[in-house]
Amino acid sequence: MWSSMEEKIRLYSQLSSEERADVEGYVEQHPEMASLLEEAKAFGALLQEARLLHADPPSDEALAYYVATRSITDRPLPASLHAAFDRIEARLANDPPLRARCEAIEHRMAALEAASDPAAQFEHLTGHTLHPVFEEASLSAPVAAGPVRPAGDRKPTQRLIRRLARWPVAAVIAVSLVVFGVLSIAGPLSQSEVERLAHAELSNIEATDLNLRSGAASSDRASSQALYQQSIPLLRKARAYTLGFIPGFDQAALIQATELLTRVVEQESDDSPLRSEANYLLAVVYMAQEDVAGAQARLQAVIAGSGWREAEATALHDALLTLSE
Amino acid sequence: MNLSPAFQSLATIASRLPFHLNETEHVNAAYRRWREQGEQEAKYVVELWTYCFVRRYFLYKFVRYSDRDYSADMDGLIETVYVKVQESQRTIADPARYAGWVSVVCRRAFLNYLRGRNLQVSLDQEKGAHLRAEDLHGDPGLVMEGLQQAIGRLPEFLREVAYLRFVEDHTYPEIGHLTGKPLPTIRSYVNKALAKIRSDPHFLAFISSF
Repeated sequence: MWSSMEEKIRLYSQLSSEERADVEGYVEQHPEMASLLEEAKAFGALLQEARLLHADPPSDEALAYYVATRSITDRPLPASLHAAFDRIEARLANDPPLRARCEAIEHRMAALEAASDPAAQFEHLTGHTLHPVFEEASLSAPVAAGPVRPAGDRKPTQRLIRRLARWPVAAVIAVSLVVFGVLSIAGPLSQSEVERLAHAELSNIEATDLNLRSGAASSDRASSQALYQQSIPLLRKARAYTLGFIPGFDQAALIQATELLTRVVEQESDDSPLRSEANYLLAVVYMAQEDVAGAQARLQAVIAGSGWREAEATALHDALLTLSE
Repeated sequence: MNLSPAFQSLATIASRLPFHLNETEHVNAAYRRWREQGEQEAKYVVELWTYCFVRRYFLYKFVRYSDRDYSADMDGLIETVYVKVQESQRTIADPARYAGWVSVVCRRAFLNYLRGRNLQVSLDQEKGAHLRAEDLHGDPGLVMEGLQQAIGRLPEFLREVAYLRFVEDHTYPEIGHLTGKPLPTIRSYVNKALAKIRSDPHFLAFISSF
């Protein structure tokens, strides 16, 4: 049956208990074969592990793995797991005690999860921001804005006019400071100065709909452009009015826009105009949320960046410094 | 199975993955793209997958212990492993084995945790913290996937017997009954299949990460 004892050792995992005892006795007499036997046993353990999910009846570990996997996602299973889970589910359907064990595992696992905050832990470990509200808006959903045109399609004069249109923003900010200073003596329904600045900035979002050069690789470029384009309508929506005339913000829209723009910043290189634009808009969002320190950090990133939005960022940064004094 | 509200937080993270947690070829491909081309979108996918995989691993390990609340221990271990993965992930020799490597990091961390608690084998029927053979396991889904792929690379005449023996763990008489083949043939096929799997370079590379 085996051409040699060496072959028999290699097939250790397939031997009967008597044959295994025979092998182990041989290896005791021939210690030079000990490493081969250890290797064969390790391979056997690996095969045993591979069979875990197909064992009948399923062990507690198999049930726990099944519960954890099914609880995390309802995406279609890969083929190898599909067959294993089908067997487990067929067994559960016809075995009440097994079903009770599985339910107990599910309850304990839910208790473990309930005592933790995976989303907060993920954010802490990765630096990424997750917003549950964002789940309502799909990244794959079509954007209401128009098609993205390459920058080269715009006539030089049109690009120049758009750039020059930004310069009055600094003057608007200065005037706004005076106007908002007067309004600050209004009643309890008035916004803070920072919020008012943010509200004014968001009104400018409607006037611009840019297609900026991206510093990312070609596949990331499309993604960054799409993310930025998806943030524009959210920022427009974020400028809200209570009772039709009291200025305020749509926090859900702000959060969703933050998620998109943060990803743009993460994907783009430091000298990317698109990154500068995203940082500038994030500064405005932070101002709407009265996070002055966060806004200033973003504005500083714009000032140190590609040059895009540098004048506006400088003016806004100075305005925030003035308000904080 | 309906998603319990207790799992919504983790499910929210997992929903951002463009593939199932067990489709490891996709995370390996994303890892390669990040390592070789610096793709930030690929890095994000790798981070999502890593966190979800590590958390699932310790969920189904710790759920077996019911003598006290292990949620703090579990969270601590998840954080430790994630940081370890982040610190060492650029040292992986073969980017195509990223998922297997993460599984090994999880398993070793769990074993160190159990040893650090000076566990004794207990005769107590309560499911307390004592070491079990299955504690030595990595991710069974990964190992099963690797083995089934290896079986798929076998000559066609060996595959059915190999699957029934190595995956479904049927005895030789059961395989004989299912396939209609005589026992000596089945034994010969099993031995041939095992020898071929053990010398399969793809499978060897796969298990080298374990």
